[in-house]
Amino acid sequence: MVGTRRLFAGQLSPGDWRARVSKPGNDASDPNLPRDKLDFDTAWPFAGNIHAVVSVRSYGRLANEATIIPNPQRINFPELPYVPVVKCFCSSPTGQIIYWCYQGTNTTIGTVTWEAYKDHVDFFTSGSVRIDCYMVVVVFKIPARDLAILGNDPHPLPRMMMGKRGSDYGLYVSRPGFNVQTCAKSQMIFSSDDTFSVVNKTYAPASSRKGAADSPTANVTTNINFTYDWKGYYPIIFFFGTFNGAQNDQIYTLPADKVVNTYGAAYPMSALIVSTSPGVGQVQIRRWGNEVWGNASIIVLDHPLPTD
Amino acid sequence: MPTTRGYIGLRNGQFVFQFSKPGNDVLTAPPEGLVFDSTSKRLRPLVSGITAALPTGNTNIPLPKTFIGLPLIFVEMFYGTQATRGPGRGFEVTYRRGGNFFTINNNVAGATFSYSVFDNEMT
Repeated sequence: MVGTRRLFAGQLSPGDWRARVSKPGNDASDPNLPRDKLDFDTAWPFAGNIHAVVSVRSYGRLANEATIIPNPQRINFPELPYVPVVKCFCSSPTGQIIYWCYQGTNTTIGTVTWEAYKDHVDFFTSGSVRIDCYMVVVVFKIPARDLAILGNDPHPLPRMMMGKRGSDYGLYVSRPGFNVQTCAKSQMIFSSDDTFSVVNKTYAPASSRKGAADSPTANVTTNINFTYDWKGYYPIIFFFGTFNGAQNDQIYTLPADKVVNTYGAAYPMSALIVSTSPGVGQVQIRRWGNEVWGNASIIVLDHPLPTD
Repeated sequence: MPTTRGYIGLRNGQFVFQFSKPGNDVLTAPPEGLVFDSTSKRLRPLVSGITAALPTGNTNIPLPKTFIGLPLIFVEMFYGTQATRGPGRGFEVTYRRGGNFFTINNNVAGATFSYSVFDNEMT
């Protein structure tokens, strides 16, 4: 009896070199196998994970003082052959707090938006960054826009190898047009000795809830508690959610650093994520109305935030 | 005798790709002694792609499933010849809880977008 092939390493289809592990009963060498039938695939965009976490330090200013941070603030990272997916936010000097459009006395961060290039991000805010913080850019090793498409793979360039490459041992797959034995790490689809951002914890309650603010000017927060495994540092945490007037018809606004209004544009919600103690987190959302249903989702990555 | 640094095959009932750090035997190393383990927890990538040039207004992008939690959706708009823009700079992204699609609300006629969607239910 021949079992189903659940490990595959090689040319899956012309020009497409991969290593894969399939779920039980599924043939890993089937090029038409959907993603949910696989446990691992070197072609997955998240497989390469974080390319860099870069930041610029901003220092606190009073409301009547000009910000010393330009808008936009340019933040550089090591060049890639493509424009990567990025995620931008601000975090406290200890790494304990991640800010999402935070508005308080003398401590303002406007809505964060960005423009990304292959070697830098222009970090915009809708207002001044007056808070004592790091402006953080997480650069994922995921192409958002390819700048080096070289056409068909110029065979016979070797594009996959397992074993010793230089002084490293591992599994490597290069991008089309690059020799896996000699190319730079940035020219690879996958290298097993990259820094992989393992997921520490996810939090996604199945039930909806309402906010705690009973008027536009009620200066109260709605708090969402969660825990994560403490690894000796305050980690990168992503928060996103849905908010709307109906329990089962909530519109999800992405990313979490965008302003959401439950009491109109004059009273925008704002929020932060705080680690109240090691391994214990809380999302604090200000001005979430008590007639507005919402859902939260949280992802904790095993990757430290910058600190002083 | 050299240290074994790579293992591919069946281990503890799972098929794996594993590589160890220098000085660690891949077959006996603790988790922190591995440089890579294909069974590590990570978000499952569900779908990724590039749109055609989109008109202004809403365009729905289909997803392969609905979600108990919420998917993590990254969307970038092509900008100029060498850059991308994030949400809030010419477009917004919405997902309606329980739906099997997300929506790009585009304000720039003819803009192209790339997207990557990850499941909050881990592998």
